[in-house]
Amino acid sequence: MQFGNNQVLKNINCDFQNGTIHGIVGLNGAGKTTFFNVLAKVLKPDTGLLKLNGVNLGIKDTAYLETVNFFYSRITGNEYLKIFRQTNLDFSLPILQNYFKLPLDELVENYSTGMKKKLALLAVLKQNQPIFILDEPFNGLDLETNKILEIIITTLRKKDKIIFVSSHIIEPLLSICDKIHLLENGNFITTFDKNEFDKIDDILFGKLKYGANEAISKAI
Amino acid sequence: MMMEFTLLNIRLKQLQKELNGLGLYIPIFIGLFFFFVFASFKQYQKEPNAYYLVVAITLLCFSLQYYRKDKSFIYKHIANPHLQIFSEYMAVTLPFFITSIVTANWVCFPLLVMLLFCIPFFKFSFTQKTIFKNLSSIIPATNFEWVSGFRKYYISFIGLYLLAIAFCWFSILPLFLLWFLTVIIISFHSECESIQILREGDKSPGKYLRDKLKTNITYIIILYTPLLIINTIFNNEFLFINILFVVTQIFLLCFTICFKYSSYRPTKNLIGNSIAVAIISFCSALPYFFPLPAFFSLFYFDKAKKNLNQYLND
Repeated sequence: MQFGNNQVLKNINCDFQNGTIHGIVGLNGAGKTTFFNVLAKVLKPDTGLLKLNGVNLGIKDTAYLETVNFFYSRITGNEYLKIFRQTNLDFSLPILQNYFKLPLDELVENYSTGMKKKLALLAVLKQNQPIFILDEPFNGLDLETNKILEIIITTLRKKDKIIFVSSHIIEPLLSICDKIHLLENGNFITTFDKNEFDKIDDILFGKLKYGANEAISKAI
Repeated sequence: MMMEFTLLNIRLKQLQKELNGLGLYIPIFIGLFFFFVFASFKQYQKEPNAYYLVVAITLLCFSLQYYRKDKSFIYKHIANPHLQIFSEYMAVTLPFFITSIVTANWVCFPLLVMLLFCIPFFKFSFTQKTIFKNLSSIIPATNFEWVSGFRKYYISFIGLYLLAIAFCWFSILPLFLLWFLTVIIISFHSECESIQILREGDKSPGKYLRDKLKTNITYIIILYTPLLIINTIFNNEFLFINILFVVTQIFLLCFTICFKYSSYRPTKNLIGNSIAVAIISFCSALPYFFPLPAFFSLFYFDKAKKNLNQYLND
């Protein structure tokens, strides 16, 4: 996948099992969002194939929660949710509302960042796609909703979905993911299985640990 | 030390970008610009029209100031915010009042400069109140453009429609009022929905466009036909003109929708498109130019389908 002369994703060749949660980590600009956009078929890759159970992946196969959520102006939370058909027959707004407590009768532009994220998440959960892509879902959420989101993601796993989650905070990924993939310069350079998660800290932050403390304390 | 006009520089770059997006419409845009400069010059020669124009320009800038979302950012982060905002309003409106200097009503010039200077001192922002909470029981939420647009412009929308009803036995006036209403309705389509909304319903590009057009045409017919039937009862000789009017308004709306989707990008705000749509709307009200929206609707339908292909087809 290339933008102008900048090759953002290169030679990605991966298999993802049903009923697994995949954490995608990497520095800013590593290609996480581009990878998600390609998966969700918002962007078309220059070359390569995406297959789901041996068949070409379709646009209807993914439910996508983007990092920044866009809402048409002057519509209420209720109206936003009504735009989406409920294909997930188990979806119950009253039950989820007990936890999310969103003012659904109010205009979305008056919502806080976290409330917007929750609303977008509700719309995603109304769908019954086999793949769920959650780009930075923990951003802006309060502690309690973070926990609820973890429960939601693990529930989706129980329903045999493939879930992709990205986060700049590693802790929630460590507790919910089955695998964590490290993306660097458009390549998945390492994949960690659950039993290798204790190595992630050293690999990701190894260089920082040595010298960063001293250097930063001199810099500020 | 020289003051840096940060805001003006940004606006200039934005204007340049939008003009590039206008393509073939640039000559029409420039033509209309000079037309309005000349028309304002003519009005400054007459009294009280000159003063009405001063009031109109002030109110326009005041409403821009009231609704703009970047206020808190500018006042917090940009040096000399009052002067920056004042220079912005001056740059936008100057071509439409500088000509007053050479007329008998030259006093309009210093008057407007003073009024515009006061506007940046109105800093207040407001939280949008949620009105018509049950609007989706009348207009389905899937027609989010209408739900959103009606909430945005309900005062002008209802006001114009009631005026059109009140004067529906007049010959031309209701048509002008309904044309203004169409201009409001086409502004409902100035935002691009997210990819999630676009893909909702699993429709092909052609079906998505046809459904969108069908819904909008239905609304226009429901709104305009009863009024024009009454108008025709009072003015039999207007039957043909009224039919032609509805058809033109339908095509104007169809053109707006097709044009929007021909340049659709998820969540994009179509400012450049609004200029082109405004030009075509204006042309549609002129004799001999009314077929333009029909021609452009057909022209952009295929372009829209082609553009949506990349988002709606596997």
